[in-house]
Amino acid sequence: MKPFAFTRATDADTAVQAATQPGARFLAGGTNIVDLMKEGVEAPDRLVDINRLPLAAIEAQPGGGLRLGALARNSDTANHPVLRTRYPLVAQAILAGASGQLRNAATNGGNLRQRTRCPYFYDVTQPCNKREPGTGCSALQGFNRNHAVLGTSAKCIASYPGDMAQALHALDAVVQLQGPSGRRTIPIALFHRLPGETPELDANLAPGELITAIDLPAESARFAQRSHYLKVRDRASYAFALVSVAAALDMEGSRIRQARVCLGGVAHMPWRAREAEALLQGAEPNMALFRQAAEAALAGATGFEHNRFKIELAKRSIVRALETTSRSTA
Amino acid sequence: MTSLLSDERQADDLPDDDSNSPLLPSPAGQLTRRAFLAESGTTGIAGILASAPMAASVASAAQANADAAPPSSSMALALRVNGKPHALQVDPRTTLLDLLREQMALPGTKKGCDHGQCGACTVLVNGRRINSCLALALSHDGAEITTIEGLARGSELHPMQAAFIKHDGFQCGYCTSGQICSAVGMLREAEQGAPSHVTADVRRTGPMAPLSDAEIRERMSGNICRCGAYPGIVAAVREVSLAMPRAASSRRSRA
Amino acid sequence: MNRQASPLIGQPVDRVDGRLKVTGQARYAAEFSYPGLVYGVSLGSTVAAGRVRDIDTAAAEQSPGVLLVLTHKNVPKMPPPAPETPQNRFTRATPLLQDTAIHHHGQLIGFVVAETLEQARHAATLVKVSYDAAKPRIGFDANVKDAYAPAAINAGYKTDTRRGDLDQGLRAAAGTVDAVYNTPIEHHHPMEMHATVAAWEGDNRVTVHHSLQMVSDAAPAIAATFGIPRENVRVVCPFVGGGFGSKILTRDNAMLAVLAARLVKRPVKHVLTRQQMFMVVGLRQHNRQHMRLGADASGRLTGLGHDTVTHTSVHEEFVEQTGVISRMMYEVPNSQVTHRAFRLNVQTPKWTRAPGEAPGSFALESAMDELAEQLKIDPVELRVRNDARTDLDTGKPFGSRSLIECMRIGAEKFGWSNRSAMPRSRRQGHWLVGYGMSAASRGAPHRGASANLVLTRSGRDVRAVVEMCATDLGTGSYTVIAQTAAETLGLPLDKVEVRLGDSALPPTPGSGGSWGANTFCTAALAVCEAAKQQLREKVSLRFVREPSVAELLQAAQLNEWRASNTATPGADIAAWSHYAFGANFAEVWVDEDLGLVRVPRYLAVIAAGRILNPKTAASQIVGGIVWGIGNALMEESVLDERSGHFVTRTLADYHVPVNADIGDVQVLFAPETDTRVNRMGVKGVGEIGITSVAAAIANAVYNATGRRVRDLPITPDKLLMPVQA
Repeated sequence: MKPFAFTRATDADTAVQAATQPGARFLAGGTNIVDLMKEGVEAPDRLVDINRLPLAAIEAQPGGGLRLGALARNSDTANHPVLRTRYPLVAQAILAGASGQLRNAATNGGNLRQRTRCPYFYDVTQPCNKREPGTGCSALQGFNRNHAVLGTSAKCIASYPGDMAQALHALDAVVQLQGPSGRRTIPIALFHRLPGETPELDANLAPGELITAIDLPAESARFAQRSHYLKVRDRASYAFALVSVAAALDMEGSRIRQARVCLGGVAHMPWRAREAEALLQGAEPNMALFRQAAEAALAGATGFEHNRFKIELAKRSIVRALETTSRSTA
Repeated sequence: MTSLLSDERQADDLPDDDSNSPLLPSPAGQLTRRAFLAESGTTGIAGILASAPMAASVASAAQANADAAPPSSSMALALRVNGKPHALQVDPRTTLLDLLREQMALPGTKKGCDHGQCGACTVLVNGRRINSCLALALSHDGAEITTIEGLARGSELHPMQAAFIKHDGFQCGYCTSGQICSAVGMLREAEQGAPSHVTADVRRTGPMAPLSDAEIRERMSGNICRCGAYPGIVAAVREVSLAMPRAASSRRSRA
Repeated sequence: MNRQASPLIGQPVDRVDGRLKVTGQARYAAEFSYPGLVYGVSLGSTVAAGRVRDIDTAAAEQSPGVLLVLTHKNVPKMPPPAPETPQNRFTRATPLLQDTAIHHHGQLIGFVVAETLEQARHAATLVKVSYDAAKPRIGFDANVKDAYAPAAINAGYKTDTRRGDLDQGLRAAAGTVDAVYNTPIEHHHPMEMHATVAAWEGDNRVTVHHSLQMVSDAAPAIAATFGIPRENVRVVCPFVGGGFGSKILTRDNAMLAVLAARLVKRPVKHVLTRQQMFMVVGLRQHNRQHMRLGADASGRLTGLGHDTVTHTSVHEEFVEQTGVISRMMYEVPNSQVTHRAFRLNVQTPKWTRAPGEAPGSFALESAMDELAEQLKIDPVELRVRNDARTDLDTGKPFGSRSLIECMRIGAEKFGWSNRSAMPRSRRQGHWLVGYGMSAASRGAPHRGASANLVLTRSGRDVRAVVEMCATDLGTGSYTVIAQTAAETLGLPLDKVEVRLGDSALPPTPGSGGSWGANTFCTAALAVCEAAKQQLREKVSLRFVREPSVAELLQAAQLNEWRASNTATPGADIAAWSHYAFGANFAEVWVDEDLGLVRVPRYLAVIAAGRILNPKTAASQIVGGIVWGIGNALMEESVLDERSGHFVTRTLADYHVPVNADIGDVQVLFAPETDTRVNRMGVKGVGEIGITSVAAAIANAVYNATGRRVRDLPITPDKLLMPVQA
């Protein structure tokens, strides 16, 4: 690592101010950025340690929603009684990721900010448009078993490796930001980016913008009874997803009033499968319907040499997740 | 703090003012007994954090100089490690793991990958298990750190350590420090009712009851053992987990 | 043996080094500190073939704290090593950075030394290397056409063997299997990265702490490399954080630290990164194995062909003895076992736990399972019918072979009779359940070693120190040596101290090849017996029963006694063929939709002669089983054919089993007494545990799903695609 200036902020204004300096990065749990700094992928001139910001609270909101402080640790979030009872999908998704130790250090904000990445991104001796725009994508003709099948571009086919965000996307979370120009909110669906022509950007954030909270809306608590996070990976734990599915159903009698399906491991960002949701809405749950929805979700998928299996695996995972979800009881 | 994790080594273990401890290089930085007692209203961890003069001064100095400061080759850091306070000067790039191993003569914590992918470096920070390899030391100013060296009390092993020996929960021993610290932290999480990936219904809050083997395995999956001692590790953790209520009331506290 | 003392050999005593390990007091190589210690970071080539054109070290040299940047440009001239012979293989010199040729990605081409680790790591990133890169040879399929027959393969085995007429034997068969099996490149990944601390005294004497399985050879290797007397080199390694074959050689990563320490006149610490562990300390090669089996209707094998092609590096030859298990495992008159290799710009493969047996058993025991199915014979029965009393490869009878007992015991304990021979017969919700089994073997060598014994007496308190330059990698050496000495001397276990891992101590062949425990314990036995004999000669008393060493010292009125001895394998050992055998039984659950495989239940029954310590021995077998599960389901190192680098480059990419992957694992030891294999009747258990595990799992997956996977690892993508008609 190259030398960097280390400052600690105790309030958001100072933190944001410090982060507008060139080469500045926020440091919370460090589980992504310190990893990247050791590999030489990130080389900030300045780290602004925000661990002391008073943003760790998880608070029920008037009106029924839940505000997840950006600096609340992933483990505390997954363990929070209100989250577990009203938004269990988020707890399940967090618990499926990383390890106990990493979840204790990682923060909600940091989790959202983690880089979409692949082994070629990590290896600074290999061409990578995300790390160094214009150098090429090594994965396109390389070993791409773990890469994306949806929303790829010729510039980047890396897949989003996190878990929590799929649940946030499924439940229409809203992200609270504070930046040099003040505060704003952004729906989670607009937070992450597809690679397009600018794979170096993972999120729609302005320089110096700090995530202060993630709001789970009251309306999304309707999915508490029937939701499931399914993660398929190469070993039983402590591994990134080959494919993951955050699924939730809101039932009215025997019909699906609303469905939410968000995929992980298949795209540069969490992939909300709206075509699938549209098919499911108003219908009676059954396996044939689930399979139809899965086909719709992956209709636009493109596989690469080593990851074509992900298309079929994603479909089956959607079916399985919906099946599990539809069988959940109150 | 619960039975397994409270720390009783406090003011008595601090050096006197005129000690020449090599761990306290600069007189201005020493957290001596007199300074500690004078500035903390209470003993224990909360007192340290509340009073930490080093941390406070560093933070405010840092804020004031936020815009101007070039990278400094070393910055002050106050830590309590295994009950002993330390005032240190660290290169900001130093991780907690390298600080322990290379500067503090505490090599019990091991480096297995340096990237948070194996868990060998697990220590307890303010009672929680984390990977010390991804923790920049300066981020943990004022923290209470427990390493493997801090679990036993003299010749009396921590119950987890004894259980690992009994059930042969190790072979080469290199991942063992991390396994044991992780297990101690993990049981605390379970005591607090934290669910895991294999918990049947996360909506059900409350005690996690005695952990099933499936729960132990999942919760310990952040600690890789290439010697494959997993069955012994599970047996050791299971034994301690089952004995916990008695351990809480009858044993002296542990960090 | 001393029958009067309470028997310790054979008892499941707790590891005597347990307390040190659970309290973080056991010291591994990187944890020896010296005043003035500085840090080294090695640089690896970023191309896989060609030459280093130039290295610009100016920025690195000016970086804060840097003491030295070592490259081919400023390295001292070192003479080329003597040509390699079987005798000097581990002890000859390793010249460093003497030329600019690049053989593989990651090859060490430089070394940066700085005051702190952070400074050294940063300075290393400032070194600018330019290359004349050549197109590397990386792809297996692209280069297999260049395969040749090596003169010999690892461990002195013959490249090719033939018995009878294989084609004839296959033609005469009622059932045949003709299939190709692939085991991928795998890496050892011990939890402790290779680490070295080197501290010189003047220019002529050095102490080196290095993580090693074989310490006795390291000292002469270092002496030869640096042109100093052998007795001026001391290598100290009391604890090794796993080796699995990767820590046998003293390689350039160690030697660079020693050289740098000499040049900067400060002690130097060098620890490889986990990423470097993929590149420079060996691997297991990709073995493509063509199996041909034929048997008559009753299952008696009429022909067995095992033809392996694999790769070696462009600059060295190492060919794993993948097919040798097929030469001795079963009685088959017509047999062909061959090995071919071709050269790639990939690092030289090296000994990896159970070299030969690990990949070879996957092919053989999978093929046997396919044959059993064809002939409609129970897999256990098929092996019973082909059991051999003679090693047809050497012509020698087996010293002991309890394979049938292992299979019978295992089948009964496991509930093998509950298995349905018809695949896809058992379903539990989303899961298909299957059972699979396999037979295993691994050679049981025995070697000579020396040991010292120091006895001290203070009143009634007698203590012993047993010393030898052996190693404990988690194998339990400290413990079994202590048990052996304590029982022989008639002392309580806690009065015996064992000192290992120091080249100043009497030499042993170190830990490898499953010879460690029996070799070290025989040496301990020999020196304890020698001491007692010597003491007895000093005493005129007659003893009515075997005296303890305490009684002898007392009778001789001595407070101290030292003895040395060397145990040498008897010539008669060579009259037989010595192997440990075992049987594996696996229950797997397969979720075919998602391609998931779980192994909730596994049983291994091992016959390894006398078991010195059932607790530590069982742990060794369990460790092998965990490795086998990893091989079966998840381990694979993948090369990028353009650059020759490993795309799987961290422990997040290369999956070894985690705790949640391992279910209920049971290990039983079949009773076996064997006085021919060595004096103590002990066969090694470090490697038999991994043999045939992958086959048992693959066979179980077949039983569950009807899908035969011949290319490891069995990852979800291999299971969820439609079965070819």
